[in-house]
Amino acid sequence: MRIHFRFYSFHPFALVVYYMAILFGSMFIVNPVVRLEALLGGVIFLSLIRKRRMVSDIWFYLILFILIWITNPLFSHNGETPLFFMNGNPVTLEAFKCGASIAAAILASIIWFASAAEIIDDEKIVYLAGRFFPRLGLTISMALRFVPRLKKDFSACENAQKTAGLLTSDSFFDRLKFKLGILMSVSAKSVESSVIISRSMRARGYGMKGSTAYSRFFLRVSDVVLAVVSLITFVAEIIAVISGKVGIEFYPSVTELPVNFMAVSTYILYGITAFLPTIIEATEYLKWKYYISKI
Amino acid sequence: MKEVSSLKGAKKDIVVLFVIFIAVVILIKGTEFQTVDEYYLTHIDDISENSKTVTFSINCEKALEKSEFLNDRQRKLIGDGIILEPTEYVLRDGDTVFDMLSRVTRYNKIQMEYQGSDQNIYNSVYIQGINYLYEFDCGETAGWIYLVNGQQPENSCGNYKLSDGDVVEWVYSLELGQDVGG
Repeated sequence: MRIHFRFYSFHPFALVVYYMAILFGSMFIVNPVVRLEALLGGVIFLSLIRKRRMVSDIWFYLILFILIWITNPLFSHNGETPLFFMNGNPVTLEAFKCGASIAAAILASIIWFASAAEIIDDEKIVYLAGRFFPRLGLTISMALRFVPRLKKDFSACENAQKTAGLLTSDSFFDRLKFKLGILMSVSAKSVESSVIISRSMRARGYGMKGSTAYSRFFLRVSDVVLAVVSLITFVAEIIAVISGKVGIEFYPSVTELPVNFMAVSTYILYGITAFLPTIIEATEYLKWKYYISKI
Repeated sequence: MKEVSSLKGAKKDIVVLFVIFIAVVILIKGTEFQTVDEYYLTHIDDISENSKTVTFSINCEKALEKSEFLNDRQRKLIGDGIILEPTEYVLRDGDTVFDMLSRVTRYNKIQMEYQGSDQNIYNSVYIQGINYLYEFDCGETAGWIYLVNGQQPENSCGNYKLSDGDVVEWVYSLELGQDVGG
């Protein structure tokens, strides 16, 4: 399915630079505009990848956002506009605003990492790390494959147990206990298989001197363009963070949104970068419709 | 897959949910909520002939020496560094320094944040910030300390009981209290 994505077929180096720029900006630039761009761009692109699956996930993301948002005012009491007092300490409007900003940053990172996991698959990771750090590359690719594989094994094992008539209790906690038992056996199996993988890779001479790797990646013009655009954004972000002219402060009162030259250019650059995958997919979709209409 | 319903299992769930419910209620009962108007005092005890009094002041002039650490809004709020001029307030029997500070800041509508005695390992009250000026705002050794009659007591402000005629100063120190008082 994801093989049909134009963004998926970019060169691994370009993709890594791109995701670095996106994640750095969303984490370190304390600015509502940048964080909103990161969040929106990430959500739209991830829902393009996941389609139906995103609809059920969006509830999880919403609850997570609210939880992080509510937690900040409970512990941070700084701020000039108290809403009410809890045990003699104020719960302030500024703390709520700061909490929303933190929640947006964490959520944007989670969502961009989720799309990175789909786009930069294990083959690309082995290609990137395989030449210089073969062990690290194999470990990362195995770690990324660990959870999907565990899920698959788990549901297979659970279905087998259900057909045997073992999972019958109505109690949520009984079922939880039962499922924990399955999880234990499945994780033991995965540990065993990781040993087998490492031995079979060694038997094939992986990581030895003089061994070559098969890869389908060639650096094309579009890859260079993506890498350069991402690098420019990355540099702009670093300048913005160091100069301190783009970020806002929440305590004791929220400072105004900066609209100087550096800030506006950061908004524009980051906006372009954040919506780039969506724009690429949209143009590819339109091209495809156009060519089909000509047949 | 349709499971045979057994009350035994469902009961267990209800019990667990009830336990969680009680835990939440205890948590909320132990927390005191106040509106803004309830928190700030509109009236403080009047000084009469036979009432005990203490002189109270809050001062952060030291922070001005390192004002480059602060943001514009903080600098504006601090002004010349005197948050509360030395003023006489009525001392109630058994009042600690923290009780007085709490009452005085509530009356004068000065922001104050503290860490309660149940929230740290020393079992003592700790003042984190007054008037939006917080500990560590002017470097790693900066914070709020208090002096009674010019001396720095070794107790926490929640344990130090005041007596008639004491002079209490809250000062912002840059060097763990070495740079102020005796």
